[in-house]
Amino acid sequence: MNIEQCHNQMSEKNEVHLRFPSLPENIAFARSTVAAFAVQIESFTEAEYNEIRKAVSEAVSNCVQHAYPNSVGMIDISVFINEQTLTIIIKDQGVGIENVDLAKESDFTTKPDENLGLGFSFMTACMDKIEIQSILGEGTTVTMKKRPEKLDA
Amino acid sequence: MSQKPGGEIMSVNVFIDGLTLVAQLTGDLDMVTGAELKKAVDQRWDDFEKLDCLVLDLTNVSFTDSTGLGAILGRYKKVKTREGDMIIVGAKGGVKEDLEIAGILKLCKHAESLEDINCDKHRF
Repeated sequence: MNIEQCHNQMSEKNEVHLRFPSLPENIAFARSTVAAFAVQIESFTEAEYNEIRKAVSEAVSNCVQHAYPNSVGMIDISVFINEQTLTIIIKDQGVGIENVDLAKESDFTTKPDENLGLGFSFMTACMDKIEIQSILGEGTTVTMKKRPEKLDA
Repeated sequence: MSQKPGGEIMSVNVFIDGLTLVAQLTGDLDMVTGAELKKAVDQRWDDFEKLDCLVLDLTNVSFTDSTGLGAILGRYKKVKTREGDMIIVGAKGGVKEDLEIAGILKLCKHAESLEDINCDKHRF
């Protein structure tokens, strides 16, 4: 493979998979790693990289706090780059969300003393598209997509 | 202060100036650093009962998420239980926007820099 072929291939399709326990110290690792991978989509602005970091931070914090409230479980993150679009899938096998529509509402929180209930609102604000699938007792999968704004301007 | 892989430096530096407790944060404010903030502030706040003002210096914070914002709001509640005031210093860009979204800038004052602050002059 010559350099040109290598470069062409780089920006078209790529993926990375992470698997780690739901320890709070892994939250920073997850958001930094996903953002570092997203750099391969060069058209993202600095602000957009920050939005990616925030969305990942919110989703992984949810896994740590809510999916596995009294235990440590595994979190799987898959990140795909396809035609300049970033897809992030964050999956846990935790307790699940009883009412996804309610959880997505701004200000909703199950722990009002410590939390603001802004997690899903931030994720929605930071990404182009967000989808949540959850089954009680089996876990939650959050799928988020983002494309550099200037490509569609 | 320790340099973390990925270039993030996370630290909470706390000191007392008169009756004011100042907490200077550096790095990302998330669940982990939020817990460090809580620990560092609450212990001193409880130890020194005369403290009546908490200053959170966010000049060197470039990232917050909802759990980090929750830690800030938690400190506000803590300070209010003793009728104290909280002032936020130096929040910029996305961090300032987040504080606005979370309603925190409606609760407490914001100053551009630590030099601009005199707790006694910021009474509500």
